[in-house]
Amino acid sequence: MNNLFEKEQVIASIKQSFVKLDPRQMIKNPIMFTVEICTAVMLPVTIYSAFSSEQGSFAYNAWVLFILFITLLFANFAEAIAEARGKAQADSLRKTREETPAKLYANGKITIISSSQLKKGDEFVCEAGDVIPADGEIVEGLASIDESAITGESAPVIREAGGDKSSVTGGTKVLSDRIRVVVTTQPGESFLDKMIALVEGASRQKTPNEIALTILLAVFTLVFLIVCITLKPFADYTGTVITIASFLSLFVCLIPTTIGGLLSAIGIAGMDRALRANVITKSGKAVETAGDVDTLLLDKTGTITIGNRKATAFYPVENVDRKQFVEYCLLSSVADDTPEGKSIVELAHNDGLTVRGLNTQGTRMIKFSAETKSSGIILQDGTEIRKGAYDAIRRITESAGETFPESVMQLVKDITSNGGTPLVVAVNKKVLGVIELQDIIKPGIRERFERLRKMGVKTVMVTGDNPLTAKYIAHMAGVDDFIAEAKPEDKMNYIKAEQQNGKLVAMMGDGTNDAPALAQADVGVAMNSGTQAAKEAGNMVDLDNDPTKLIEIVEIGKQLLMTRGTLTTFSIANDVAKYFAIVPALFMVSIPQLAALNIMDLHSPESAILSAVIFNAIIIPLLIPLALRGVKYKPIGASALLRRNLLIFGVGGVIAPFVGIKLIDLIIGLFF
Amino acid sequence: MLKTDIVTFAVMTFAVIFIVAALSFFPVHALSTIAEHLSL
Repeated sequence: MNNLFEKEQVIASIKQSFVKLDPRQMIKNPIMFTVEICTAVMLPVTIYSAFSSEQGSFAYNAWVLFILFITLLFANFAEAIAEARGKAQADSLRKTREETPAKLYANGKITIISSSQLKKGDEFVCEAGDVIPADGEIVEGLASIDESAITGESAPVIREAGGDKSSVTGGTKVLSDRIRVVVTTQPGESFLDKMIALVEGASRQKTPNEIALTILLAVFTLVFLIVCITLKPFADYTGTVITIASFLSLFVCLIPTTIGGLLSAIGIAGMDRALRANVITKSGKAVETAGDVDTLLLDKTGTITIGNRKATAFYPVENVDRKQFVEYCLLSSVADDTPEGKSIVELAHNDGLTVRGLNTQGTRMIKFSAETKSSGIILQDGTEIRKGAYDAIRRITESAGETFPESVMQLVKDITSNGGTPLVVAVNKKVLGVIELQDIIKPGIRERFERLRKMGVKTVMVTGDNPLTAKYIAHMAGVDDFIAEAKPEDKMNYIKAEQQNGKLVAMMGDGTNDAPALAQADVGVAMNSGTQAAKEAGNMVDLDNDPTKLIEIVEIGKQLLMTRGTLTTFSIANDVAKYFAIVPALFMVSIPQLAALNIMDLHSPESAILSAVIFNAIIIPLLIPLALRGVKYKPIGASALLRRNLLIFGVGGVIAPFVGIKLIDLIIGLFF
Repeated sequence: MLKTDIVTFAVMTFAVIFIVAALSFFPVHALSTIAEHLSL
């Protein structure tokens, strides 16, 4: 990231700059195409000037021709280097899926073929140690997979047939067990291949925003064309002779070549930045839309909370010894390896109780089942300890003829309204107390939401929790709204309602049941671990499976739009100074009084025009780093941001060329 | 959301209209009105 210009990339880009001079390619960019026409006109004029002094000196004409040509190359170079960087990034990802042997499975027999020979619908088998040869979906088995080649995450993940975790990515490695996988993508059609084609420009299409800007810039070009053409009769009337070279220089300086030359580079760089964040975009449009997003739908689990509930407090019923109660809780969790169970053991440690100090001989585990909604342990002496959901324990105690204490009911209610989950503990079917489990809100997430609010983005938490719990967590995390007890269609309805109010909605999802909502959302980010359906429905895929990635994507999008806006402002603002350089120079000979307009005190008419054209050319490469990196985004609100950028790129854009042109003129003045 | 009823936005809109118009007519003005003014 820090190294903007790799040596090989620069060399390749320089070559590409010449290849891109092909008018058939240039015409895609109307502004630079007009510059190319001007350059083509200058060529015969320069040759003519060698034999006649009518069009000014040969040296002057040759210089103008040379600078116009350089301007074209600079603009092409900007696009080429952006493409090269995107390509390099994509290649490093593609390396992971180079030729690997695949164990093709057909009619119960396994044959070893090359991964490139796999076709959609083929089945292959992977065993421990094998590299998965292609994207696919598991049809049989379960395996732990090392996805670090794609995600950089070193912890292995479990993938199994059926459900939402059945898809595997080519290039990842199976660590244990054996799976049978059906290939879901035709070779050359995987997301990565699509993405590479996109940045390579072959299938790159202009985004709506880019088209609108191109039209605006083309109109500017037309206006300045009219300005230059009408100047001819006016000049003739006053008896001023303007050379073709001067006319073309004036025209090229006025049309917005700076933004015209950098426009496609900015777009490619935006997609490239997304790729660097390990997000594959299916179109440049998606990145752009992300920058305008108004509403963000985020799943609670994994995004806002860590995902596992943790025990935070023990509440014994009155008349029950706290130490005794905690010991029972600990006993019930000794063999419970769920994150909740582990956290109970941890919490009991604070009360001075450890697993080692317990007598666990001859105990029997009661595994958690969906039916009983509780788990527990039976001690050697026959004591049965159970912990579980409130309604499950209530059923057990009441069916045993015991009463469910009123105070426990109150405790359960209090814990629920505080966003916690109560875990009721019963010993021999008698309720002894409650363990409070709390969702742990991710550290730093509140600040991120604060940042989003400053950007003007509304955050909505989606959760399956009951409204009371959801409200509490929403409050704690600082989200603006929440959908509680959410079913997939709730998400869909929420998105539709927001869209009807003219809002752009982004969401992230991984399951097949998320697919309709992902398709409905303006920006749908599917997780790479998600199902094929989810990945097909979304317009971006996050290789890291990181739910907070949406926030980064929004920032990348905003940065892209801002970079485009600021450079357009800069480009147009530059014209003011160029006028003060060129116009007096054009007429100073016939109307000496106009020297008063030569406020920069430029050396001679010819040096003034050359300085303006040179400045116009070199500003393009000078701004390439900015175009590639993007304008720095600060979440200070839209109005403050506008003021800041207007000050830097608007006012700066007026002043900078005055300084630049004067400096160039000082240098040129030494030679002319 | 960018507010459009603030001073910044008003100044920007005015500046854009003014500068674009000025850019369109400046060369011709330089030859006529400005030249005349300076010659007097």
